[in-house]
Amino acid sequence: MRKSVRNSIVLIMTIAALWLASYGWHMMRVRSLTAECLRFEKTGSWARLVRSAREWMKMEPENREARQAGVMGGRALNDVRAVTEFLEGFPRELPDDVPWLSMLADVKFGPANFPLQGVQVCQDILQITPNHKESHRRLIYYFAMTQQLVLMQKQIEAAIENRCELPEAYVYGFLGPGLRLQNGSEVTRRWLTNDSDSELLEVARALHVAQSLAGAIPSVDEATAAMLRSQQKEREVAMGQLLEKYPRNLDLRAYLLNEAMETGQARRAGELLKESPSAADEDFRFWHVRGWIFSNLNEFEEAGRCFEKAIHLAPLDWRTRFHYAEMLRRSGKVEESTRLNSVSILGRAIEKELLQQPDTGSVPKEIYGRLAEYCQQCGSDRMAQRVTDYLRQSDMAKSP
Amino acid sequence: MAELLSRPLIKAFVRSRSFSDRLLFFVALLCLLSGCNQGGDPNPVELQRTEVKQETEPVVEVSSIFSDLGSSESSSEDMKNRTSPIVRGDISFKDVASQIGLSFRYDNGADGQQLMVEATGGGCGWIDFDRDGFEDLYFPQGGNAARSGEADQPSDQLFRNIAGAFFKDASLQAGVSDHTYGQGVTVGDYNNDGFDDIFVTNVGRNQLLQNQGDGSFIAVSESAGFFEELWSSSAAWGDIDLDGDLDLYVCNYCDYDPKNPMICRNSRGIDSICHPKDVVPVADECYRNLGDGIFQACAKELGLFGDGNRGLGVVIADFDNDHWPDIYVANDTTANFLFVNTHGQSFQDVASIVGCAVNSNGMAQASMGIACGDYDRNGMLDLYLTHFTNEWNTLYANLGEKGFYDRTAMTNLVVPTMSRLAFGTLMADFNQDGFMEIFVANGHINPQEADGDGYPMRPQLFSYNGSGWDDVGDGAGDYFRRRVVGRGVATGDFDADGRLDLCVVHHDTEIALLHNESTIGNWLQLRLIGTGSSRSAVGSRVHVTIENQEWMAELAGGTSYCSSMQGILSFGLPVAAEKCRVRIEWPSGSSTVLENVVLNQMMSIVEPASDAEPARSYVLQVGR
Repeated sequence: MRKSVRNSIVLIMTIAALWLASYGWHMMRVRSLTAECLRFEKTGSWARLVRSAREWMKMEPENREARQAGVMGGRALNDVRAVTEFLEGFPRELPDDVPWLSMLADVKFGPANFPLQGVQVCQDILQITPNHKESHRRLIYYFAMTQQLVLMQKQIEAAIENRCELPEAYVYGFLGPGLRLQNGSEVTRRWLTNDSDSELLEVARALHVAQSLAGAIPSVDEATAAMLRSQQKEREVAMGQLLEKYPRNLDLRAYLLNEAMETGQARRAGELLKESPSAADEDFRFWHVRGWIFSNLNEFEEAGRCFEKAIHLAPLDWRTRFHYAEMLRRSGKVEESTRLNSVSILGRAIEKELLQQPDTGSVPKEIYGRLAEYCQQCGSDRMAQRVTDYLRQSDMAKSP
Repeated sequence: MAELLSRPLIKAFVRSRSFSDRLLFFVALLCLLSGCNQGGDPNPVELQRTEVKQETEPVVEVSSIFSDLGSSESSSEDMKNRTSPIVRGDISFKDVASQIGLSFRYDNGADGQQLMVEATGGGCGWIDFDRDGFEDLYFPQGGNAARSGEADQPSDQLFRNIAGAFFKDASLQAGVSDHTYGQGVTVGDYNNDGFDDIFVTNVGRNQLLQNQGDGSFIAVSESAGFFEELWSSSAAWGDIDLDGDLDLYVCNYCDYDPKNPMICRNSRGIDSICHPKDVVPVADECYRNLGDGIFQACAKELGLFGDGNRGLGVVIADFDNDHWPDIYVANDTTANFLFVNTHGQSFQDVASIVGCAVNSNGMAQASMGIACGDYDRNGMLDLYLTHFTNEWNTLYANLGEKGFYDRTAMTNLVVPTMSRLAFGTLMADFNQDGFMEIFVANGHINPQEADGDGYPMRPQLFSYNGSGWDDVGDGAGDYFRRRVVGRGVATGDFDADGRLDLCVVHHDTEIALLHNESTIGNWLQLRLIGTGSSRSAVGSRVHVTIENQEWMAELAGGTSYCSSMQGILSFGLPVAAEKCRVRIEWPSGSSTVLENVVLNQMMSIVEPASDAEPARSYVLQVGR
């Protein structure tokens, strides 16, 4: 008994001694690595800094300084992989972490080309700092690029709520389904290279390609025209196959619904609606098309309900208002129709002018002024106020 | 079978409560009723007719829901009344221009400079200038736009119709020698002397040619008050103030001088025809006829203006049935105008409010020509607008107080016109079966950058079947299989056989004179002579009634593109009938009723001095 007790004590003592020795060595090594990193940073020995920081990071994965040192070295070396390696496990807790996480998002959306991971980083940033302007901007851009219009609208609303939106958010928020990103096809193609099995990116790319092929076919030479015609045909087939593959994808279905509505294919629209997932109940595009179908059936009451719901979900969509006004006119509510129509005319005019701008940064203040007026008329008071504030601030910035 | 299948669905529909369920039932029922295996959209009138047949259908409530699916607000009773037991005859046209000595080729002067004016011109006007009862033809001519007006440039031409058998160039004898770069023409008796006059739109000064009554014309532009040198396109006569003489509306396009042309390049840096948006629009003008041979510009004073006005087509007609002529203007790339007439004192553009400014997607289209007629027989004038490639032509059904309704898609008209670039268009009953046809002249504006079906395109002919439009061009003769660069088109019965023929102007080839060789039903043609109204009686409305069916047509000013129709009203009527009732609403406000009018004749009717007096009518031609 005594022997076993003694043995146990010896064992504990040995373990403690070993632990103490190991801890001491660890602390010494950490101190040494810290010093090395400082020295390498001062001397600009970036490769050695990265090596030391990597070792330090392995010893202390939660240590922000080790990762920061590694990022510094990696950035100096222009080594994206190293930067990503150090930022990847960066703690996501404190406001001080945000600049580093933002850097990680930069890398994910940029050179690393992992946008889906970038989205997660941005969302983590917003958990820490809800008014982080850059993260909102990134997410709005990402949702626009991936054609997730409902999520885009929600992100814009969140940015506005936190009073940290950039002016381009007003443009994106207003344009909604009318938004066309000229580089959409190229960007989503690049994003797909690292996430080739992503439904989201596959659909987004298909939608961008479809939009780019939707225009006229120039027949400068018959071969080109024939090629474009064949591409359009292939695109139609591909979209059908994609819908079969992803029947629950709302954005794909909404695109096809809109296409059916624009070309007056009520039956096709009805079929697409019939098979839409329940999440479509929160998507204004589906309500808009429902309203349009009922309107064509002269089912004015039902149509009105659908249009109202669509407007409730997306107050700035002038197209819904246009169809609603048309329906009201046919149902004999001329005064109401005229009022609604005048709002939709303003919206249409603003959209037309916006689409003529080369980019969101070139939008003249005058258009923002009209946009504020339009938001007001649509009952979107907060957006109207924010656009007005932006105009006021930019005027103040201009004045001496 | 579909009807039988649909009954359980209808019952299920009644039982369903949520609107989404009802939507599903609607869709399913639509599928069944209109045939799921067929392309196209729900066929509203077919549904309606199905309903009419189902007289014993017990689900009355549902019947009423489906009674006017997608229709122009018509009750099923109305539609039943309008549905005539007419045998539909084949439609057939034959180009006889070369056979009967009619040779004219519009020269747009294209020589590689890519002048913007090369794209638009080329119209024709029917005019019986010698009053021999046979319609003659006037053609504005183009030429080298940079040298417009010079004596060596080709001039407009007037062809005299000799007894419907052949045409002879009468330009020299008639004193027609305008060398200005021509665009369009409109015909009307502006001085009420009984001889139709000609207004020619040009790139440069427009020309008013006064008919001397002796087979010749004199140019009276300056003395009449037409001084401006603009780029005008279509024009229309109409008595907008109802003072008994014809006023004039002239569409102007944009500020472009072909002698000092603006240079535009395409995305590849190659010289290209300018896009309309690159060029400043020029407002249309309206000229009030003062009655003494002088016209006074009055567009601004009357409120006849709007944003982005690049007018290419115009119709003067009563669109709101208030007996005052309104003006509809087709604008290129911007919203169209509907100027509603307030008792001749002023006009207000209500197109956006009533739903005929932009299409059903809310988009302004590149509008060119306009067809006008009551295709759905609801007593209101409908509109058909032609557009650029990828924009499809648009059919606006007039619902009266409920405005206009874009029924293009619902009546199967979207797909057939997507790849065409259309200019001239008109609505007429060519086979006289009581249903309208629409003719469309197609052709691109630029051979280097033609999209869609290319530079020359096939013309189109659509026939209304009571619920939708069928593309019947393929079976309507060789002309519809030819590819041409079509522009202006106008109807006229050149051989007075009771069938409306067509004259079509092309850019790349000789004009076509399409002799109507369709199998026809009964018909009635009316030439109206105003007394209290303008002599041309533009704006007159005629209602032809047989039992409980009624057809309405108005002698509208303008329509089509850069062209002028023969000034008659033509009706196709049921084969079983022998006589009809004719009611004429004259622009002056008086009306004339003729009972037991024999069919298959062309009549001339003179407006009585008062309602109490009987109208004088003359039979001009009888037989099929």
